[in-house]
Order: sequence, then C-alpha cells, then structure tokens
Amino acid sequence: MSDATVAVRTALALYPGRYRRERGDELIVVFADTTDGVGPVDKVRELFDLGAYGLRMRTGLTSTSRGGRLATLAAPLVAGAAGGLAMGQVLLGYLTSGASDEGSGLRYLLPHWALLVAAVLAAGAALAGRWTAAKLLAVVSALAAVVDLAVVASAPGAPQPLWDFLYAFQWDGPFVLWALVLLAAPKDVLPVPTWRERALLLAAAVLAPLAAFTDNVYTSWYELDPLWRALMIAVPLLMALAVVRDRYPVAVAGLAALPWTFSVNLHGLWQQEGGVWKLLPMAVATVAAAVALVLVARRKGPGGRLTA
Amino acid sequence: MQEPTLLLLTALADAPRHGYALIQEVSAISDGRVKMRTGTLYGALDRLLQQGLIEVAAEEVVDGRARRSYALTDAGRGALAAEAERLRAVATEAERRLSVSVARPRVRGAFA
Repeated sequence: MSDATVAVRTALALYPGRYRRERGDELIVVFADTTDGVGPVDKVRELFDLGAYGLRMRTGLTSTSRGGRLATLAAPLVAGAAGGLAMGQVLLGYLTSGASDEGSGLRYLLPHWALLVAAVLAAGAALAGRWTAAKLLAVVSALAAVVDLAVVASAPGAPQPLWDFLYAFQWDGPFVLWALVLLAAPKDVLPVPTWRERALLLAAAVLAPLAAFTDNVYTSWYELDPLWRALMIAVPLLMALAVVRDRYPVAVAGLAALPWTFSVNLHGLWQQEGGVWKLLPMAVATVAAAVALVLVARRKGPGGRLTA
Repeated sequence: MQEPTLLLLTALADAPRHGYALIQEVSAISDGRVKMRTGTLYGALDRLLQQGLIEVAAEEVVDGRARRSYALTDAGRGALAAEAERLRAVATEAERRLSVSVARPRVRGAFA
C-alpha cells in the first residue's frame, strides 16, 4: 500500500483490518486503474464509493450481512411510513387551515415543507423502484428535519431549547431515523418492487398516519403512563433485535416501527421522568440489555446452539 | 436477478477476469450504460463469492501489482444459464406478440 494516496488510505482505513490486509492492495490497483485519466469529480465519486463499501463492512450493513438484509427488507415499509406520515401532516395542516403555520416565517416553513414534500416524493420513488432517488429524497427530508430542529431549538427567546428540541423531535425525528434505515439498505439487493413490496409500502403509508392521528397522539399523548411509553420503545427494539436469530418478519416490523415510537415518546418520557439525568439510567440499562441480548444470541447462533 | 449481477456473471462466462477487467467488460456489455465503481464491484463480488456463484481463480502479482482473478462456479454457470433462458423466453414472447399485433384503431375523428 506504499504508493496509495492519503485519500485512498483514508478510505481503506474504513475497512475491517483483516479485509484490508487481504484485499487492500487489490483494491488500490483497481482504484488506480479506474481513476486513471478521469477528472477530479469522478475521482471523488470513486473514492466515496470505495469508502462507502468499507463503512458498510465495518458496520455490518453489506448485502450479505443480517443488518443489511434487515434494512433492505424494511426499506419499502420505511419509505411508505415516511411518505404516509408526511402526507398525513399535509392533510392535517390543510384541514386545520394553516392555523399552526400562520405567522411563521420562511425559516420555519421552508424546512417544514421541504421535509414533507421530499418524504412523499421518496415514497413515490420507492414505489417505482427508483431506490437511488428514494434515498436521495430521504436524505433531503432528513436534512430538512435537522434544520427544522435546529431552527426550533435556536429560536430567539426560547426559554428551554432542549424542551423545544424534543417537542419538535416528535414530528421530525421519525423522518431522520427512517432515512437512516433507508440509507443502511445496500442498493445492490434492494428489490425491483413486485405487488408484494408495493402493497407493503402502501399499507405502511396508510397505517403510519392512522396510528399517529387517530388517537391524536401529538396532543392527548401527555396522559400516557411512562411505563407504556417505555414499552412502546422497548417492544419494537426487542423485535428488531430478533434479527440475530434470523426472525426477519418480526425484526422488519420492529425496525420499521421503532423510529416513530422512539421519537413520539422521547419528549414525554423526558418530561415525565424529570429530565435527562433521570432518563439516562433507563436509557443506559435498555442499551446494555440490548447489547447483551445480541451477544448472547450471536454466541448461541440461529438454532439456539452455542457456536463459539 | 438484478442487472449488475447478471452483467457480472455474463462478464465471467467466457473467461476468468480480474477486478478492473470486470469493470471494463460490464461497461462494454451494457454499451456504456452501467459503470461499476470499485467499492460497488467488490461489494457485488463478495456477495457472489459468499453465494458460491463465483470463485477466486488465481492470485498473482503482475508488474509488482496484486491481482486476483475471478471465475464462475458450476452454480454460477447454472444460475446464468437459467436467467438467460428466462430472458430468451420473454424476448421470444415479446417478438411473437409484436408480430401478430393489429394496427391501433384511429380514435381521432371517429365521431366526426
């Protein structure tokens, strides 16, 4: 690897050490041949692609890994849920005749509408099997959500920026987290949608706003017991972790639901528990239990037998 | 079978090839429409290796450069033949239907 540029070495540093030792030289040679005589833009794109695969390997999100397969199977549901919830919010805004938006400046409205429109278009692109477009639009939607959160939290005169941030996260959070799931799905195994994928996408697009609005969760949600809130996060999380035992149908449903259940309950939990420091032990315990579960399940293998 | 997989298997059908040669072959077979990048290529190769559709045919150092060639396995050859047969059947059916299609009736002016 002595003749590799710093940029290529940096991209290769993203690969697991063993793979880098076995294939690093080969990757450098192919990269050098491919980028020979091309312009700087193409070189950067090649470099990005090289690093992206390394990152996928490092995070276990390749097309042959459990994580990658889970994200791929969840992609139609995730795209549909985001599009459906965005459409639901548009309709709700229309039915309440802009009461919430009236008087808001462009800095509030622009990210808000960019988020909603991009999420709906991403669902449409996924429905048509245009996964690259769907991913790009999901990123636009997520970035708009982040901008919206930043604008809310940094609004002049906001007495409690964290409160405002978590409050807005109820609406914006799912779009950021669903976009991450969509990005995690390896493109080379994302399906050409059949009637099954299309039906799943449309079902998610209908169910997500129904779940969000029929119980009026964003307004009457405060009465919910903290235990129920914790369960609404823990159950989908445990379902998603079923992937380590190759229970894909359960894991896919859990992963698709988790971004929404996590986002809408975080603010309430934080408020009811009395702040970050009281919520932290519960969060640490949940993460520790999840990691322990994954490690035990991995050690036992899919059939429940010890594989170590 | 997705198109990049089909193109890669097709590129390996007549002879083992190394990474850069595969990128060139895929581009040639697809008439320049599909251009695989290095990371994408190795993602696909790793998947096909794991699925047992291809294998490493040779590891050598040419002009001081590491080079690994890949070849189709019997399973890969079978998968490619099955996909080619499926595509041939679709193409034959498309041609048959085109040959018996009737001219579309002219709607414009029908009610005039």
